Parts: sequence; C-alpha cells; structure tokens
Amino acid sequence: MAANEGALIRVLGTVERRGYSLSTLHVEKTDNSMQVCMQIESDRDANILCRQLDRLFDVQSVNLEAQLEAVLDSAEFNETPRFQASWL
Amino acid sequence: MDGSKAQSTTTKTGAQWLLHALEAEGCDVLFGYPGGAIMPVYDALVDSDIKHILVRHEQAAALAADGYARASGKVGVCLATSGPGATNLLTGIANAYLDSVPMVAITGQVQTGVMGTDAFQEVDIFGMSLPVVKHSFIIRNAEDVYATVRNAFAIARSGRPGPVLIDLPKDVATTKVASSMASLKSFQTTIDEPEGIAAARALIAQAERPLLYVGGGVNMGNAEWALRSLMRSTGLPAVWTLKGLGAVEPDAPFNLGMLGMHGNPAANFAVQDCDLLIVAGARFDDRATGKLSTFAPKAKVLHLDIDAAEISKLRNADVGLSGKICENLLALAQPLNISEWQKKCRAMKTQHAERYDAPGDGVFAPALLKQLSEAGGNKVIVTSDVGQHQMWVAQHWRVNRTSAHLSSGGLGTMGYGLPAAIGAQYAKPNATVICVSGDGSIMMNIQELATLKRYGIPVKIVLLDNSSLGMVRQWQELFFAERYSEVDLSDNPDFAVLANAFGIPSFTVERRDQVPAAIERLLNDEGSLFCHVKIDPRANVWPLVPPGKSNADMMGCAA
Repeated sequence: MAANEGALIRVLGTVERRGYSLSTLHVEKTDNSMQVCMQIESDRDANILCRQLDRLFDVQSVNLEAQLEAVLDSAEFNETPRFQASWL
Repeated sequence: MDGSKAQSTTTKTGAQWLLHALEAEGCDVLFGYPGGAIMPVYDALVDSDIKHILVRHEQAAALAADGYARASGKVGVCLATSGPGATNLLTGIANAYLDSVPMVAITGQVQTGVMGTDAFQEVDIFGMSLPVVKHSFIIRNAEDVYATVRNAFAIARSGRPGPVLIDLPKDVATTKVASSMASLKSFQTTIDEPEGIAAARALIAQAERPLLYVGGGVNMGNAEWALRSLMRSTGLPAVWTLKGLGAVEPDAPFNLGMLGMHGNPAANFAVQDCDLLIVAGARFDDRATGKLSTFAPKAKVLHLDIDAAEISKLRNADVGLSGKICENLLALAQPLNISEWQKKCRAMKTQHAERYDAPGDGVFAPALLKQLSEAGGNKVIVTSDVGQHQMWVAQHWRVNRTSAHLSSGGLGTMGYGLPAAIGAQYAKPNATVICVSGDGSIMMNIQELATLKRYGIPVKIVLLDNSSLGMVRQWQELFFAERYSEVDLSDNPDFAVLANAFGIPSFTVERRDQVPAAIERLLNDEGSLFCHVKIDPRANVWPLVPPGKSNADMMGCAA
C-alpha cells in the first residue's frame, strides 16, 4: 500500500470496526510504500474484509493467504476464520 | 486535467490555489462558516466568483452540501474552521458517508508547527473522521493544494460516491507558491469488468417468482432509465428502499412500494414469497430486511452493486455483479414467463393499497402529503427530516425521480431537512423545494431560517407538529409498555411566531378543510413560507415490523 499519512491507521481501523480482531501484525515500510501482514480472527468471512480493505485508496492489493475454519464447541458450530493478508 | 494550466507560473497562496481548484471542478457554491484557522480561505473568497452561503451552524453546512449533491448529482462542498467548526461538520459527513453522497468537506487546521500540541481550536479531525469518510487528506505543503483538491473531487464522485475530507493548516493556506500543480495526476477508480452476466441471466430465466429490490445505487449510477426499461420489457415486479423512492415509476403496474419496517405489506409479502431477489444498488440494511435470517427465505440472490464490498456482506449472493449498475441492468433483459407471479403481485398490491379515508376533521398527514405531491408534480423536490413524518413521506409522497426526494436514510439525522432543502434550492433554483419536518427535527437546525431570510431562499417548510417525538413515542407505546420517557414536546414554541421572528411568513393549519388552501399557497407563493400543521399526537405510522422480527410480522396490517 502507499505509505501515505494515515494509511496504516485507516487499515487497522477498518479491521477493528468491521468486526475482526488482530492477532499478529507485521509492517515493513520502504520509501513510498508499505507492506502489511496481519493474522486476524473473527466469526465473519475474511473475504468481506478483504474487499473492504481493497477499496481503501491507499491500498494497492490484498491477498488472502489462508482462511481456516474450526469447530470450537461440540454443541454449536462456530466459524473462526483466520487469515493472513498482505499488501505490496 | 488542465495540462495547459500546469505550466502556469502564477504565484498564489495555498488558499487561492484551493479556490482555483474548486473553480476548475465547476464548484459554484460553498456552504460554510468562517473562523480562525480557515480565515485565509475566507480572505481569498473575497476575490472569487464562487458563491458562499453562510449557514448558522457548521452541521447545516455539511447537510446543505449533501442536499446540493443529491439534487444536482454534483459534488457538494462545505467549509469550516478547525476545532468545533470541524467537529460540527462530522454529523453531516457521516450522513453523506452512510448514504454514499459525493461531498468534499474542507476544514481549517492550526499551523503545522503546532499541530499535535493541543493548540487553540485544534482537534485531530483527520483522525476523528476516519470511520466516516471515503478518503481524507491533510495538506502539509502549499504545492500540493491544487492537486489534492482535484483528487478529492475525483475520489468523492468515483465508483460508489462518498465524502472526502481535506484538512488545511493555516500556514499552508497562507504560503505563496508559484505552482500548486506539481503532484496533479490523473485519477481514476478502476471498476471491475462485470463477470457472470450469463449466470445472472440464467438465474432470472429459471426463476418463477423473481423480484427487483431497488436501492439508492440505481440513482447514484444514473440507472433509473435502465431499471425502468428492464421493468417494462420483462414485467419484473419491484420493491424499493427509502433511498430508492422515485426510481420506479409511481404508476408502474408492478411497483409494489417500499419494503421494510414501514414498508407496504404487498412489498414485504412479495419479498417473503419470491424465489429470486434481484438486488439493484441496495445493501440489505436492517430497516429494509427486518430479521435478516427470515428475509426472502425462499430466494436466491442476484446482487448488482458498484461496490464489490457490498456483495455477500450480509446475505450471500448466488451471483454478484460488481460493475456499473446501468449496463448490468440492461444486460439482464429477456422475455419472461411470470404471469402467475405478476397476477399474485397485482392482487397483493390491490389488497394493500394505501387508504386515505381516515375519520374525523383533523389533518390526516398521509393524505396531505399525497395531495401536496400530486399537486406539485415534477417541479417539486421534497426533503424530509427524521421520524414519523419521514416515513409518511416515504409511504405517501408521489415522486417520479429519486433526486426529487432527499432523506437521511442510513444515518437518520434529525435536522437534515431544512439544510438539505437549502442545498437543493441552490442545485435547482427553479424547483419548488419543500421541506417536510417534525416538531422534534425542525428544532435541530431551526437557526437555518436565518439563512433562508438572508439569501431570500424560497424553501417551503411543512411542519407536521404532534407536540412530541412521535416515532420514539410510538415505540414506547408499542414496545415499552406505554412508559413514556422524554417524548413530550407540548411546550414547543409557537412555530408560526418563531418563523415570523426570523422574517419568514407563516400560517397554521389545524383542520382538514384548510388543507387545499394551504397546498395552493405552498405551491404558489414566491418566497419562503412556513406552514405549521397541527396533527393528532396519537397518530402512528403503520404498518410496522417490530424490531428484530421478520418482515412477515407486520403490525397494523391484515395478512
């Protein structure tokens, strides 16, 4: 993504506001761009967040590397997608 | 953009470059309020051809810019100083964000050297507005002003429109630079090429009970004509949202009305029964869907939206088309054999047609609104505030184009109506702009009567006064065991006198037999006019889907 003023906080704010929680975060900044890798947990579909991040103007591309689902409770089926997204 | 001007060596201040960029964007009117940090821009305005409308509260500036944008289809622009000026804009910015309205909001900021030191009238408006803007900028160099403003306009109107904030520090506004075009670049949002048209057409061909669910995106995508063409050629029935009002021809045979919490029963029953929901520029808002898991339970979903992030956000789409809605709607046309479904829809429409034969001689607000809209016809633009009157407008106002009905849909901003009407009047000077308000809402931006007077803006106000916060009262009656809490407004000011104090002519309507003369005056008086209408404080909006219930469970409607 472009390393513009506010770009990182805009991305992180979108993640939290849309109902996803951050587990790990790695940021690498070069001259004018930034690469952000995140691992995120939520009961919401990670693909939706990807599209919401992708429409941010500083974001150049979003890659969903993996989405894992797990059954956490025997009585209820809880989806816990975890994914790693990165931008270049 | 402006390649020749890019060679210019004229020296201007940042503020002058800002206005130069606004002029280049065709901006002819600004809604704003001056103050310390924005003073360099107001100084430059003295030499500019752009008209500035001084509102009396910054929130009204943002809402007027919103109304201007909705009525004109252009980008609305508002202007405020730093600190409280900027925070007062926020509600209007959020309003534009939730309803996808193209807006550029410009705020003054303290000097760059003291930013971050809690300087006088310093707030981090850039940070505060992040969740409610499409994008935002802090301009830190005067060289960047021109390009940033041009880019802000391009972003605001591209793809799914929305508000863009520009925060302009005072020293940047006063710095003189030879050219502010260095970083100007061509800006375009890429839009996905539509895929899946064949799959979409197949879904429609296979459906026995297809139904269009029309939202505000149809108007934003200039696709009303395409929607109407599709409806005519296929006979598809349609329901619409608050923001979709006017997209479907009022007299179209299979126009089933608004869906949702206060929707027409025919619309809600059709949604519950359909086997294919064709979602056109709508977003499954909870006021439209009721309990989401029970919404359109038998239907597959075909979702058309310019914003790919809306597709499958709340309801999984069997097919999603994330391109320009106009082209995609046209591509769906095909002969359909749905006569049984049409027959059923027609029967439901007849069965649940609105009734206007309320007993008594008091003013029946739904009938007044229907009669006023029919008498006014296409020359009228209506704005509404938020509450019971807003739903009565949505249910009963007859309107043939979406841009003639301005309402705060997503945010539900009480106080929207009057400033939006001011904006709409500047967008369409020859229109008869009518603001329908309530006695709660009107007080949220009552100070804008001074703006009407100052500029001679001929907005007409129809105040439906039930001496209470009617919608909240209705909910307390129905869902809180009649435990009324802070909804009584029986000590309201005398609104007719209040309007006169601002220099606005006024009159009061208390009986049904006074309505025809009131309509005559509202449509024929040349200047601004305040029509105070007293209505039954016990009147409720029907039907009503209780919160958290299915749209099939409407109160106040026979199944």
